[in-house]
Amino acid sequence: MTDALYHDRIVTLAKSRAGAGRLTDPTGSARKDNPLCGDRVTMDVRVDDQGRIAELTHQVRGCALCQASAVALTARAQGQAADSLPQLRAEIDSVLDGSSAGEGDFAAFAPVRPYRSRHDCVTLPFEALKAALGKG
Amino acid sequence: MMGLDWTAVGNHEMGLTQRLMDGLVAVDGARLIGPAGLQGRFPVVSFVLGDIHPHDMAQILDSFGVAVRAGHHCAQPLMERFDLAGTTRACIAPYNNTSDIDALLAGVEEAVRRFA
Repeated sequence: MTDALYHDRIVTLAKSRAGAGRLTDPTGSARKDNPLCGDRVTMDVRVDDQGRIAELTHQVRGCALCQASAVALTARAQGQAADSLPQLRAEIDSVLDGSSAGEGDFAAFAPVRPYRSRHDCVTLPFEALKAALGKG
Repeated sequence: MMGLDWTAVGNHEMGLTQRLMDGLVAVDGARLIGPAGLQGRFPVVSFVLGDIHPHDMAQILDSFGVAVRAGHHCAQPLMERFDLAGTTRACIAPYNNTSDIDALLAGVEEAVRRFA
């Protein structure tokens, strides 16, 4: 079971730290903590005049699932309309509840489904981005 | 329980604690939390290992049949003080034996292989 949870794509995403860092001129920034497990995610976002996410970075102190989720979300959200976040959140929720396979790297989180206690590890970056966009 | 030889139980637990500590310090990047030796220590070993998060470590150990606690152990201010996300904590009991310690150490090696 654990082999499935920590499959190669999850580990690769987590190790890559792609998109990690801080922005010098964000239009929004937020930190979210999971008090139950200690995971902590900070998201910086810069939204352009057209309402698109022009730049997005994350800083994660958390488990591999949280790290991988932050990387996958950052890659997917970059260049998207800021108001598209609810669709991205709905997609990852559907992957975790098994109602859809998800697209791209979101699909990598399907093996997390049976581990209810780890779902929040995956969704914490989404909560942080929502707050950074002023909607959380 | 009252019929147990508690001196022998204590010696048994501390022997296993020493075996676990010896095994962990031999792992690159492992850091024991607390006293380096047995003095001033209960049969409890908290450790961190590089950037491997305690929850990931615990999940791997679970697949080796080893149950540990992981996280901040309701001690967030202390963890903040030492800039730790959390620790993995093994508590040794009278019913544990050397094979349990060896299973834990094998799980640690697997975690290193996968995440480090």
